[in-house]
Amino acid sequence: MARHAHSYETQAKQVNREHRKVKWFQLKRLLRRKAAFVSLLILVLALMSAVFAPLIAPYPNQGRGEVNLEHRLKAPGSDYTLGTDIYGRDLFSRVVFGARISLFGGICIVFFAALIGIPLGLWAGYNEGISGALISRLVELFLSFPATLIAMAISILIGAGWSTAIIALIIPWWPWYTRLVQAEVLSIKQTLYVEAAQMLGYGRLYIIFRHILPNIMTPVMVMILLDLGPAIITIGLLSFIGLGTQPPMADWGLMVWEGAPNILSEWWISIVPGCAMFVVVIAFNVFGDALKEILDSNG
Amino acid sequence: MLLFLCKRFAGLIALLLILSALVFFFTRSLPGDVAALYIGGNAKAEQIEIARLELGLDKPLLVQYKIYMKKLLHADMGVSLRTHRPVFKDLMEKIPMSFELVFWALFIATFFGVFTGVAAAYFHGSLIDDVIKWVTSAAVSIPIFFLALLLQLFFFNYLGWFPLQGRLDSFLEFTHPIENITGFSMVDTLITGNLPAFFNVIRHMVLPVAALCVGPWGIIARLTRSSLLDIMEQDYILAARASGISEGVLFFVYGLRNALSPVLTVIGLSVAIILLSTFYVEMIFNWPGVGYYSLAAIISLDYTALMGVTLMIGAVYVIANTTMDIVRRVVDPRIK
Amino acid sequence: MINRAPDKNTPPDPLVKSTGEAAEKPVLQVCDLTLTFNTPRGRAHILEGVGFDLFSKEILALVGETGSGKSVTAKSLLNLIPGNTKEITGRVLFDNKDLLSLSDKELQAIRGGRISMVFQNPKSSINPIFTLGEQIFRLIRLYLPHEIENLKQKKGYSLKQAQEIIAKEKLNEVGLTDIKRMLRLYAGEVSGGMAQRYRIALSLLSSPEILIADEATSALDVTVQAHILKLMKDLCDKKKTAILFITHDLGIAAQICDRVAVMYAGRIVEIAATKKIFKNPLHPYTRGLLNAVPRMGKNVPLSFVPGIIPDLVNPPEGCRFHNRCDHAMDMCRKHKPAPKQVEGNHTVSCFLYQQ
Repeated sequence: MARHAHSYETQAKQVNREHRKVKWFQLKRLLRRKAAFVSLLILVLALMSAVFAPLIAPYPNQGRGEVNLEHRLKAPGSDYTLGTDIYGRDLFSRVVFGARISLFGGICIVFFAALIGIPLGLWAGYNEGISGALISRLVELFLSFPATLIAMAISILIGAGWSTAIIALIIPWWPWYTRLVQAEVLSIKQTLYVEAAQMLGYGRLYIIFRHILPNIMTPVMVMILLDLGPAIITIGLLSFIGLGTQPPMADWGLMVWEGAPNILSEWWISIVPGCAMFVVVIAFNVFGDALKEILDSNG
Repeated sequence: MLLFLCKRFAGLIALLLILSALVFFFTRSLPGDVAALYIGGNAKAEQIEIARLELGLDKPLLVQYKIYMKKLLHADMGVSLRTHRPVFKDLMEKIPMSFELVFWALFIATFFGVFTGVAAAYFHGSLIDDVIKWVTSAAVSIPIFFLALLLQLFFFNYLGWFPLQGRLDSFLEFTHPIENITGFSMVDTLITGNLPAFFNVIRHMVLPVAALCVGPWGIIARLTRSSLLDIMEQDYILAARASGISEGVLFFVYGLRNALSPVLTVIGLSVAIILLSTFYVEMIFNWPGVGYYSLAAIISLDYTALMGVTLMIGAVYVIANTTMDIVRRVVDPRIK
Repeated sequence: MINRAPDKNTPPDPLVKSTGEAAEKPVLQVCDLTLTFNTPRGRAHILEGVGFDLFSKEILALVGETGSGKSVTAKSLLNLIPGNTKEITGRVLFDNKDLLSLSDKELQAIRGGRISMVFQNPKSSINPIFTLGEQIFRLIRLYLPHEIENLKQKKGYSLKQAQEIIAKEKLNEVGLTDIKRMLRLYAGEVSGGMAQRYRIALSLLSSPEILIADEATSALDVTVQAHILKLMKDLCDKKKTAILFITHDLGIAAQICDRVAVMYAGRIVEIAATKKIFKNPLHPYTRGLLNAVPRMGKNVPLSFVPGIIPDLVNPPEGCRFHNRCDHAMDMCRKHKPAPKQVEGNHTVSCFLYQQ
């Protein structure tokens, strides 16, 4: 739920700026900053590990969940670089395969939340009539209750599991996009060039796509980027209490839970996946922050 | 102003009603036979039927809802399927336990969050600002369960500064047990003069509270910083500077006052974050509060308890937000 | 720069020549003001060699199109430009002190007290979460403590009452009525005209020697503009305040200003009395500006100055206007024209007049 605070940060600023499309030279400037560059590197690394997991993991089958009971609870060493977990599985392989699940899960949630939320926001912002008001009310309703709680409840309802957890998370997630987009559209509507397009007789949909959409893309992109971290964490939160990924498939959250009983003795079982999650989320946040700074100073 | 209060209050009631309706339909949509779960074990068919009648599950949905609402208004949330005690009673016992953690976490997060954010904005561009930016980024990125485990590992296992779990050292449970008067450990130990237990409880509280407050601290600090920086660029600050008002007054009087509004909003949000975090923190630190109870309810599919917990957390969230709304209106007259 | 015989107390200024006319020291002397910014694209030369005098009791217009640097000039006089990537050189002489060399504390004493400023957006120049009353009271406490004491001692008023009385008097001066109600309002609840009158009242509280009006009427309706202009002229006549009036609108300048300084791309290109500039504009840019004002009548073609203002990160060498100038000569491309006094008190920076 930490993600919500980012949207408050965006909205705390006045929406009085002209939004422009992302220009390439801005991206170059972004990469010149050390922090942004390093975090992007980390993200690319994580993505690569997820995609090429079977090739990177020294014990891919263990990564997928095959047990290896003779080598349980081994400390990090030469055979198993990051140690083994309670079932003897190589932790490094597990974490690499976990990247697939955690990252993909996070991307799914944000992608679909944006897919649902943005068009609704565009519509609600542009048409201030009944449909717009209805959407507004719905968004307000969703946002009046804690998102993670809603997700937990839905998860219990439709059953635990990775895919159900993702669906359960998309449901309280999309209203944030609708609210952001609606606010942006409303502020842009005031500007003259949209009025001009209206006067020139262009159709509604055309105006929305050609004129409004490009200009709201900046804050939306920033929100998407800054959302990925919290999405990954929230899946982890659900998995940790058993509502998310089910063994043998494991995302990082479930892995931390698996290692929790042994935290004092075989600390690596929890700490390694936990660190993986931590580092990836920081990378997303730092990169997103840097992007926001660059875009803001030009916007 | 009065009109505003009435509107907000009406909104609050409406939301609570919607919440209770949602929770009701939630429990009625759950998989599995509630009556069977209620009996538990190897229940015979007749017993299940009796349970069904008892729970009123044979009546039409709307009637069930009416009964449910009536019971709620009498603080009857049903009986926990796990503990077999009234859920309301369970909650009343656990709430003070959690309240101590939540209160201190919120207080520390807000106080130090604002302080840190102000410092970062004041020293904008310097090393202090950079360090704060980094640390707060880390603070909002760390998953709560990971942080809790990390704290246990470091501060108990390696450093031995703080205890691992629970509320009181088991030794002290014998020699200086806490008399249960208000339910708040710190209060109870103080008023009974039970100082050894008092200090011990505080030691036990340090790690859980730390785990709970780190995330919100980061959020509040970042928001305070960005709000302040944004405000100091506004026209009215420039105009005030041109009127001869000193930089100090500009920053601490004008700047801070104007920055309060978004910060108040995020405090309401932090309440929700902390509440949900207690699920994990109480589990890991074995702190017998509402969070622990909720998690146990989820794991054991204790539907009645789940219902009660959801209602409670939802209600607290809605009330906290409405309160923040009202406070914001006092601070920022632009809100209608 | 306008030439006057040097006063004995004036610090010797190599740019001021003597012509034997009556000695009157300008209340503000801007000499060779140059401002550069470090931007990601390079160093932007925003202002170059800006210089003019402001005499007490006069209204001097600083005219130029958007991007000419007039607002920046105004703000740099009191060091109000944000950001640490700027470099300012030159001198701004006020009361025998160079404002640019003063410490923040010393400047703070002058801002609002002896030199006041009014800005373009009146409503956003007022803090939105404090009432208008709270804000004017703060300034009254700051600048009129003796009046407050007066009222408290002699008439036995409380602090609150004294503040209200003074506020009422000052706000009445700018033409505001129903003061008691107004003091309880917030920035969002007043109109632009009211807000600007309020801001003007605030700026004149301390009876400053100079008032800088940075596009003070640009955001207002035309009818309101006229009122505000008249208000400023009347008040400053009464209080003997000099006004530096910044605008992009020549018409407004013509209405109340005694002299006009024309700016282009960070440089002053011409300074003269208002009548003279309108009757006999010397600089090609000034001429273009005047021609660009639409004329009523049939078949009068709309004229304009072709081209756009130069990129200030890579400004052209030589005269900054030469690429848009009808009369550009070879010299203009390579050398920067220095200001030259052509007739009495009419200065222009152009090679056309420097043979």
